[in-house]
Amino acid sequence: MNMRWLAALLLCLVSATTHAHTLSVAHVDVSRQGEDAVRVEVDVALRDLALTMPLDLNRDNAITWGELRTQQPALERLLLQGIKLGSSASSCTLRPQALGTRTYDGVAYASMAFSSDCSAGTGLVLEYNLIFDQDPAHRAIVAWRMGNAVQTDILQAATRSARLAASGGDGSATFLQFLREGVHHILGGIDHLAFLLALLLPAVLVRQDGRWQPTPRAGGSLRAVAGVVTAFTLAHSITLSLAALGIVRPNGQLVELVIAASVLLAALNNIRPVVTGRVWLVALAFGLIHGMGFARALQDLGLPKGQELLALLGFNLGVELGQLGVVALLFPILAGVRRQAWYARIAMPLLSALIAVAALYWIWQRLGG
Amino acid sequence: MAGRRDHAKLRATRLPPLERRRLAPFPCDIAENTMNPITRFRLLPLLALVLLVASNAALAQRPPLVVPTDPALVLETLPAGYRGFSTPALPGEPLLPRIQAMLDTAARTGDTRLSTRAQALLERLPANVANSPDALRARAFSAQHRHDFDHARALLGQVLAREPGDGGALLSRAQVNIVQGHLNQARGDCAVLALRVDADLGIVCTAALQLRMGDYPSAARLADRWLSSEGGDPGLTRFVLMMRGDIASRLAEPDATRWFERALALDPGDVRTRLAFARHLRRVQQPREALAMLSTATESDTVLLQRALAARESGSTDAAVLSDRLGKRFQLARQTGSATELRDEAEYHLALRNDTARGLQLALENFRTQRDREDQELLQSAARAAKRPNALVGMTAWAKTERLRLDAEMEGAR
Repeated sequence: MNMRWLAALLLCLVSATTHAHTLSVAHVDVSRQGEDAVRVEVDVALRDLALTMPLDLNRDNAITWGELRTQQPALERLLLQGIKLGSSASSCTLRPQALGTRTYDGVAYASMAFSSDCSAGTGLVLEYNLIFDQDPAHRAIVAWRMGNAVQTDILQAATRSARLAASGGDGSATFLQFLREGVHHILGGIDHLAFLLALLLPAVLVRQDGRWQPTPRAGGSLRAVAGVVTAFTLAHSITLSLAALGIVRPNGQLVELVIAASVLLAALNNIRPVVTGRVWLVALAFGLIHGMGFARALQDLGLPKGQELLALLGFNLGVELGQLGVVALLFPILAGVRRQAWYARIAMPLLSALIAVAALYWIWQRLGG
Repeated sequence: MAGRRDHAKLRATRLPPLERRRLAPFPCDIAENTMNPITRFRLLPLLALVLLVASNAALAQRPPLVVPTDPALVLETLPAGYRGFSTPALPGEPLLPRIQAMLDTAARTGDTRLSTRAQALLERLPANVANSPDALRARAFSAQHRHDFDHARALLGQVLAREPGDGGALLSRAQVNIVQGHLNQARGDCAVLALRVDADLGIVCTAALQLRMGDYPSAARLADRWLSSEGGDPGLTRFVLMMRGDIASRLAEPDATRWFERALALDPGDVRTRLAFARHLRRVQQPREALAMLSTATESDTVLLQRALAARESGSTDAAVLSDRLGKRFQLARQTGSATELRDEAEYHLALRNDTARGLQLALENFRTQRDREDQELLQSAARAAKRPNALVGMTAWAKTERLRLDAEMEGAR
């Protein structure tokens, strides 16, 4: 083996992570200009272009604006070969317009604009075949802009076309995906469920003369449950949105700890009541913290660019659906057993105690025990 | 209990609002006494809606279009070696030398575009060369770049099965084993290399292993021995000098900087040396120098992380900008389905976002595939910051199996 290979292999293997992840991402913006006109702007990183066509004409390892301008005709040809716009019935002719530059987070891009008299209506399809054959890790972010609405698609080697759907499009798929994730998260998040359960257990009871008594009518209990669920929903919607969009950056460890503490307090409140009326206010206060916990799960999924709002709404609604599912399952049971003496005296305190023990364990775990 | 609550209410009604707030036994009492619940319910959804719409509008914006007027304005500086790849390979042109050059440049500059392009070319190699030892080595390199260490090791095993005297492949496999935490296997590879194949390369292999084991004095002695008889490949010399600098830095030797300077002199553009040097400069409280060291490096997650850390340590006004830019890169990678560098992402959350729980989660995830010294140290500091010593149970068990002595603090945590 020659030393050249040796050096290349050895040195990279030793510093395994020192050269990871220079993203190769292009941006394609398609915006409607009136009824029958479309403007397409294609932004490609200059480094990607420099590996695809000669840009450094004087070989000084620098790309100047003059060199990019000189290569504009070649760039136009490259982009026109690689990008097609049309519908299933017809294709749209793209006409090169202006050349410029953009800087995405410190990375220099060439930006080429095209215009088209395209009457394909809402069934527009964009085919993107740039760079993939040379670099399978390349990605293109396509933004369809219709007034203030934006639909985003991410194209890769395996998926090279995107369609602008009639109603704002593939947003529905995003929405459904995040809706499912929201349901999954609440049903899989045992601490959130424990908190909800701790609030629901006494919802079919009232505190009178220092003792828990069954509510006279199930309707009254239902109102209390609705209050709890609505307050919890409103509160966590706010903090979930703020944290997921990066407007606030809560301390994750503290959030997890306070969530566990909220479960403990809610459970203890059932055993030694401090708050007996207006339980919805407890749900409201601690819902703010639980929302930050939900945001962490959403952060793991990553909000799709341009569809942040839709994804957020989907996730939030998914959480609500999961929550309502739990309530729908539990409430009839609780309403049914509320008049049994053992429920108020034994079952409710016992279940609350079990929840409290679990919460103590979570607190210990999250404190690093 | 009810009597105590009534008493508190009674007291609260005689006090000004702020005092009432302080004395309130539970948050519900605050709301009860300070705001009409109906008003509160109307305001909350409205506030949430306004925030959501405003945020989405901001995220949909693109950077402004600039049309320069000066033709000499430099838009982008390319790493050396880039321009050789601006045209496609000619028909009939052997692809392996081009692949090799791409991988070399990718390693030196830290620009992974070249390694993924080399990977694409590897897929197109004609059948008669696709399984040659050189092609297998290139595939191993490429697999390592993708963090597919098992595959890289298997490919190097294939090379060694055909060419058992290939010291480079043996050394490379030892390195993969070190990165993966298979230290006993790395020991075996180094022993075979030293005793049967190439004693000089065996020294380098053992020095790297000793560094990983934390036996810095032994590693330093071995590196010095190799360097005293140097005269071989400049790339390998640069690597050993860089390793020597790292050892010196960990031993707090005063001449650590000199080792790095010597390594850098051999290839000033090599981002691996620059990163190692920058880490050393940060370790010796010279963050401004670290920042300057990386100012011209190709922007990867790793480079940006070190720049952000150095900027913060030096009190630079760019610290927040760099940190946000790095956060956006991780977000973009996740949005586009690209893998993120877990070690960097973990350190980002830990050191720059103060999100110890997330940092620990990512450090644990990273440790499943990478168990180099930096990965171990990161996990240890993440567990410490998150006050979760139990997160290190897996690491301590693994260290015992691999006969790796952890730090004294860790020993106590067992």
